[in-house]
Amino acid sequence: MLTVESLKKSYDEAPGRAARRKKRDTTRTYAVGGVDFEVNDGELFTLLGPSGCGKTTTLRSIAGLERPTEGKVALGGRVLFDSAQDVNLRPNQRGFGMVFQSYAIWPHMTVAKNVSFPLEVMPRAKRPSRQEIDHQVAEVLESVELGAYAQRSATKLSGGQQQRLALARALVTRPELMLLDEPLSNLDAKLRETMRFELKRLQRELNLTAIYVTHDQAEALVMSSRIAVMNEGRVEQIGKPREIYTRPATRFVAEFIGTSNFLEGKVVAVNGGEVEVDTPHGRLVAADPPRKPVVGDPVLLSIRPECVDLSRERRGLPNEWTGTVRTRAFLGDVVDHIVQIGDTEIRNRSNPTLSIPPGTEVHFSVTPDKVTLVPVG
Amino acid sequence: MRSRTPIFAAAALLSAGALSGCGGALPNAAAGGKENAVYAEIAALPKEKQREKARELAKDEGGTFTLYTSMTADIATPVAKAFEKDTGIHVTVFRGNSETVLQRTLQESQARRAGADAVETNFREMVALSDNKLLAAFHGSALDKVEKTGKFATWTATRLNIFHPAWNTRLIKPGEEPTSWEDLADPRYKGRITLEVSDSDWFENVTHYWLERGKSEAEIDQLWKKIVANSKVAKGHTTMMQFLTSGQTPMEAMNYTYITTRSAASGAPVTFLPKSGKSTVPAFPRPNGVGMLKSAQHPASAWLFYDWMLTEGQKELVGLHLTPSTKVPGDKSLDGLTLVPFDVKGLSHDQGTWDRKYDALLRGVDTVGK
Amino acid sequence: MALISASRKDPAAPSQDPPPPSRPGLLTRLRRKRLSAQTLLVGGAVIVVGYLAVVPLGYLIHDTFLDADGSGVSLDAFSRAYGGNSQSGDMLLNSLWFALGSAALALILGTTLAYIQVRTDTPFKSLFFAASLVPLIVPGILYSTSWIFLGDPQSGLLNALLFKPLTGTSPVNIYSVWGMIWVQGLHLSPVAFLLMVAAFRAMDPSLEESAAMSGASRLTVLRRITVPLVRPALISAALLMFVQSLESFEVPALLGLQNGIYVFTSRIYFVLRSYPTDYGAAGAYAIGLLLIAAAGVLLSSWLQRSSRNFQTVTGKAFRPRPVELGRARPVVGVAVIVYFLITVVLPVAVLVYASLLKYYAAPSAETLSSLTFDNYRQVFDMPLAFTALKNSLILGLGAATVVMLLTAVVSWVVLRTKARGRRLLDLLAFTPIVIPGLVLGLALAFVYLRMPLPIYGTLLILLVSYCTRYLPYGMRYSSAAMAQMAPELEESAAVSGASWFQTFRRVLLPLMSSGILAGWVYILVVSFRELSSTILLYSPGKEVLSVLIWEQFENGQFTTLAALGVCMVLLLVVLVALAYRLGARFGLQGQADSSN
Repeated sequence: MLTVESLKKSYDEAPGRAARRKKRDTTRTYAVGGVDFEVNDGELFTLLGPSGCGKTTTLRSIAGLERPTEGKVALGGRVLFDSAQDVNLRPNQRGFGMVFQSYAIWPHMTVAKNVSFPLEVMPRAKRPSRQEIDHQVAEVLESVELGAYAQRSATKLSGGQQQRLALARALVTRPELMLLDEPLSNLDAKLRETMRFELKRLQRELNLTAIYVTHDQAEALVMSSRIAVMNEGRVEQIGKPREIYTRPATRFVAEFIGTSNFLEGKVVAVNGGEVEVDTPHGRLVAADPPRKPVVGDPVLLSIRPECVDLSRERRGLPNEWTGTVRTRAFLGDVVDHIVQIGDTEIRNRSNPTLSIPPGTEVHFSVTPDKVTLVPVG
Repeated sequence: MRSRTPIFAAAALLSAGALSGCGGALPNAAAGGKENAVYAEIAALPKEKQREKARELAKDEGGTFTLYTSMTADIATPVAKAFEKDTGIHVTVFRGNSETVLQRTLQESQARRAGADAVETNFREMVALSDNKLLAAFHGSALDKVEKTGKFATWTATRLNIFHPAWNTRLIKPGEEPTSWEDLADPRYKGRITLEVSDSDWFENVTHYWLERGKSEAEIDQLWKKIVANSKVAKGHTTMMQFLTSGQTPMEAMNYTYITTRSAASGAPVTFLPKSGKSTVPAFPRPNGVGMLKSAQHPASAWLFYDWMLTEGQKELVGLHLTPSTKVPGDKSLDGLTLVPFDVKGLSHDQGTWDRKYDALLRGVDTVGK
Repeated sequence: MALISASRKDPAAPSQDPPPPSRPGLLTRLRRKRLSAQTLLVGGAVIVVGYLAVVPLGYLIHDTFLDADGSGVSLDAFSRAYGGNSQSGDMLLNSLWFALGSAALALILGTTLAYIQVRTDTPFKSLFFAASLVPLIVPGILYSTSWIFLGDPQSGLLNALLFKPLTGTSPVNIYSVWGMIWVQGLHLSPVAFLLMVAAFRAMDPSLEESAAMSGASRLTVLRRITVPLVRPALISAALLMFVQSLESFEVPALLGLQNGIYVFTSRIYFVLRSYPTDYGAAGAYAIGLLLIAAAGVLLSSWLQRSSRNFQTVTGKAFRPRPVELGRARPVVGVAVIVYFLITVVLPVAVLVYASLLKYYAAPSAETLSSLTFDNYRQVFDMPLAFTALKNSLILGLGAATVVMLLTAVVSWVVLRTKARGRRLLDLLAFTPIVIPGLVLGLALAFVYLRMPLPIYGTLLILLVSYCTRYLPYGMRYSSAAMAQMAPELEESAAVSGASWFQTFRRVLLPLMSSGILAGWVYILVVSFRELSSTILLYSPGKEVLSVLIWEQFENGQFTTLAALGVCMVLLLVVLVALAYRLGARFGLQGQADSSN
């Protein structure tokens, strides 16, 4: 189990030096500003976020390629990095496998050599025999379907093959932890989709523990056991894909994962598991919020378009509002309607059997457990 | 892993160490200033017994010694071989330009590091070594044959480099040859003369000669300007000779006669004597000499070499077409030349004045402060 | 995809060992110990490089700024060197003009040739090899002398045999700034070629192809994509050649003096050869050179400020596909032949011709009928020939290997770490390039004469001297190779469990190999011809080939010298060809394809 505790990374100069030079107090900017999470064994844990959110820096800090400014990284009981104790294991002492975005295939080696390298550089005591190395290399190459290419120059492989080679190289030592830095981003769309499932399957079958970095929310949702959504150097939310999607903890998460309707309001009542919120367009009830608010709290309500139930008739359901269809868009497998209430637009996504022409008055409702309360802060 | 070691601190520390930590004297180096006991032991004997003693002591020294010389390899090698044949002592030769020989000897003696046992090089460098009190005086019987002009306080002339114009016989026809140094200023040589960039001793000698013959400084300046206007500049006497033999240049204002002779001996169309076989151009013989170092590790061998260079060695030099400093039967190197004395006094302690004057002349700028 | 077999989950498999218990105190200390192996290696390399560079620099500064009586600091040396009638303005202009011209010529020739060789399907690819190396091998005094025989305004062969009969004029005059630039530029162009070949080989052609696909013409691709991509290497090469021309002595001495074209080095020579030697003034000139070079370094780093992200060797594969020249192919072929004729055939032919004569004379029925092998016989009869050859080999191989290993490590420090002082280190490693050989020789003699180590008077002092002199060149080759390599290649090795040393040996070195090999060959070859510091530092019995060459030159035996030169060229061509053969084995795969 990997634990990351209050990990911080700043690219500013060392404070003493900068202060000496500028002769004033320096406020540091952090690429990663205090990140905590745990990765359980057998999990595929994803760091998701837009570019520049600190996810790659976090991954590289775990790998040992960057030295964090503060914090602690431990695998099981083994401390890999701890600023307090001044411990910082080098990448080669951590025993991880890593797949780079650019694959980082060594162009001067054959396919087999690329894969055998991690075994060959093991400490003498642990290093397998030559035959054992050859055997393991053949095996892992077979598993990524590159067996036939073993003696080929690594530079003669196609993009997809190189990606698999990079994977094989990371797998060959059966590392305790795999680090994957946007491994699929250089592949074309079709191949990317296939590889998602292949990767997931491989991870499950080998019971690999992996940290996966991506900016692609669909990829994250498909593959992950759990996701940490990152923004501006901080973790916004950690949860299972479904949880992240249905119960975004922050406005950023809600916006970044899929699309969402947002309404601002104020808590007026808390009755058991239900919270009543007043919005400019009426009252909404939300069920089972993760954190119970107090009456009077300003809150943000997030409603996924597919949770908006649209109907020509008023049906007397809870959270039922009335508005006018503005636009309608047919997307093939789904149809989107934009409904206007006052100055707010609510997006609905429905089965294409439903089709309401613009200008029609409609009634729509959201079941309380689909209304997510996002704390305002 | 990214290293954060402040590299520069280490480098700075080191440099300080390198520059300051190199003062101490070395155990194997002999004291530079003190008179060597072996030289004294030899000098104390009657002259006729000195050589015998030196041979005896040289054997104990290991039968080898080191010579620094500016003789070119084609001369130094046969000389060293002949010496070894005569005495059984092997010569380890360091060859360099005369200025390199001087610089190296000075540097080594300043650092009290044993290097050369004997030195054989050009006049000015020998004077500098002598001025620096690095040389031990020689009192052997070999000196008796050397003319007075070839004897100096702590060194002795072994050979004479004679300053004289040289030309390519295909490009300078009979009748066109220079008959005096003044001739070099003649417009008929426009663009046909080459000057050597470091020949300031020749420049001084000619100037001195003209002053003695009653020319005014203004006249002399005028002559030099005309000579330079006729000329191109090259570097190195032997290089110049190459260009002369190949016909690249028709004439050289000055080259050492032995270089011309040696080149002519291999068949090249070059000479320094007119068709008549008699030159009227005043020829300056510059003494090149030998000296033995006070700090020598093999003083007896050095003494023996000194002695040999003034006796048997002289014949060897004649065989190589050089001009010996003593009378040697069969030496024809001076035939047809009109010798005038070399200006020892003017060049002995000039502190580089003539170098600077000559350099300024070649660059066509005025000399400051004479 | 097949399943990875069950053995993978074997609990005895290494990776599944229980993690060592956490005992931070002792454990971290132990780890620190292991860490120090790298620190030692890297630190050692840094210290050696710093030391090599600082010694002559310190000597120079000491001599230049210290009063004659050694009591205080003064600037007298500068007024002696630059004041009065020294014509320092002319000297500065001549030096700059000569250095800029030579660098430009060498860069244009070398880069064009490198591009044609690496990236096109040009004919005569094997000629490039010779064309790029022979001028490098021929010592400066020989190369200049050959050109004197070719380009003398009166009797030069070009004028006499080519232009005179054709046009009735003698337009070629080698004794001019243009002539100096021509000879120096040709002599330097191999350096540019070697540097640029490494750069072009490392570049992914798809970057060009993508531009071509965007509709850019071939010329636009060249201008907008290719040149900017190799710009770091280009700037680095330009700087190197500019500074090297500033420091060079043979061409200005043999060609410039004739018509009074003085440069810094000819002034230094003048100052050092007179007695009493004004070391201060010589130092003042050398510091002038240093300042110009420093300005060049600043300019080049300013020009390179935006090139930091131009890593062209990435972990992604590329196939070096040559550009098809199409109809231009014969034209390029002819151009290659002409270049080859001018840089290699002409000067070497003059050498070979001269080596067969008793004394040099322009070709005629008479000279051609009396050709002889006597000179070669003389070369082989030279008592020192074998010693000199052995010593030169030891020194050349030694210096090349030491410098390239050192600079590979140091360029890693400079480019890949955030260590403090790394820029200064880079600059420091560059300074020896402007310290003229004569001054370096004096400095080293001074220092090692006073050091109680058996260095002075042995081959070691020559090794130190060569390592110092060629350090800047090694740095350029290494850092160009390093800068082009994506850091992930190194990081992926570290994550794969390789220690720093394993990463260095198995990933960095092989990936840098074409750059390193080019540097190695360069240093090997130029060490064979290094003379200006050798002549001050060699000891009897420790002669090297360049000393032999110098002796023949001093003896005036140009014909024997030519024979020696021809032998040396042959020997080095064989050596270098061997080196490339061997290098292709462990180097980039693409290299083997394109070098034959």
